[in-house]
Amino acid sequence: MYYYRRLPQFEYVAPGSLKEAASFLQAHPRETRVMAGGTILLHRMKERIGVKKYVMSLKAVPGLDAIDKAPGQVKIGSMVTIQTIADAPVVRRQCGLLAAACQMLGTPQIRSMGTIGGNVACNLATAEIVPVLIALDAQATLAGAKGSRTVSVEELYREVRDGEFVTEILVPVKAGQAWGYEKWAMRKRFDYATVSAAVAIAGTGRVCKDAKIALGGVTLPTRRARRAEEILKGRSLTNRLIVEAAEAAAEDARTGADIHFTAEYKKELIKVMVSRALKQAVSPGKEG
Amino acid sequence: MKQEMEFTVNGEHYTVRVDTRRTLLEVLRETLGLTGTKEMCNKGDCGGCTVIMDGKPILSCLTLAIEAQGKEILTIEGLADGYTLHPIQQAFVESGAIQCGYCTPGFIMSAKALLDRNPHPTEDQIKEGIANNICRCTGYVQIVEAIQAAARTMKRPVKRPMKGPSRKPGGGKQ
Repeated sequence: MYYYRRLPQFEYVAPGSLKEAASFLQAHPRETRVMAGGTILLHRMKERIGVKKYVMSLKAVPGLDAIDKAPGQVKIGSMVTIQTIADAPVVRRQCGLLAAACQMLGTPQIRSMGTIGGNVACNLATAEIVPVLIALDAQATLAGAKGSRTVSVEELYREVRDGEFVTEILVPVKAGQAWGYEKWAMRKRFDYATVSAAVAIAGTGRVCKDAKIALGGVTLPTRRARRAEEILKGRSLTNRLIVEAAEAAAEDARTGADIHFTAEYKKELIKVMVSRALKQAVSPGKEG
Repeated sequence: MKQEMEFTVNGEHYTVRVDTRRTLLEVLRETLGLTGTKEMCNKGDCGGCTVIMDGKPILSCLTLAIEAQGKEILTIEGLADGYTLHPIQQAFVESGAIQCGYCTPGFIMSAKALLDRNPHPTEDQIKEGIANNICRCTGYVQIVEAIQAAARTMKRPVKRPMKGPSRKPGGGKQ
């Protein structure tokens, strides 16, 4: 793979309002890369991957860097950095799963630069926050020239149209939700997750009313482990059931080989990650 | 395309005209002459280009210079007070945490950001704090020890205020 020390030629645009950003993107939908934190985009541009004529930065758009508590949900602006989310008391209190996953992403530098909007919008299998948001049933607000609309994060890549960009993530707050998060990376505190598992369980005691299991490091289209979720629903989460669900998740997951691991090995990892995440969720003190 | 921008580096105000596709690293080193910040992998893996922007550690090789508009940057040149080293720098010297020295500015800036955020880190927290920095000669044991020593030194009340160098950095204002 080629790697250049300098960035290629491009034009930098930094609109000062949402409206301005939407109309610029509407005018040049296929010639523009939207930039949030820049950690993924600039890296890829140095590799000369996906270089387009314009880079539109959202840094100057006001109001995209706030975390707000609304009734029943936490609203996170797309330009809020991963470290800010990991540290925010409201996120730690209300969406423990998201705070934990943010704290485990990348390195201090990457967490200080990278944003939730960038992680969600980049459409890479390695995006670690996406499975977490899917498990939490989060939604994303998309802005476009015709106004904004809200779609579920799970459907985001199918829904997003040319000229639209993510402005906000809405995370529902559910009382009594237990969670677990496991990430497996070559260097735990540095690398992207080779695979990861995020689980959110609704129920009382060990009996599971509803379960959401989402996986990282799997190839799209789906990150949900639906059959595993069905196995858990309405049943008591014994170790045996957890293993059964983890096996189903691994069996159904689409994995691809990379430079380090085969697709089969990743399936094994998924099995272990899902069962560990579920065990985490049923261990005491994991509500909220 | 060139644009005018203003920012503060080590307490000094700069107004520069930069090409919008230049990284902060390139502008620090080539325009301002602040070559303490190192260019190594240039792709965010090694941490050699770490600087502190508005109190947070960032990789200057993956930051567009133009996006540092209005920000306060602290580089390795901004740590020492004249000829008196910053406690972290002093600890690196005393612990033998420097060999070829090329990764050192990045490590020290990561350590500074860590200790600003958490003045009493555990060994694990230190390792986590320097996870984005790579050293290929000293190894990491002495570096971790140096940061532990610096944390101990900095815990004692030091009268010396933390400020930029009394000497002007190279390059000067443009």
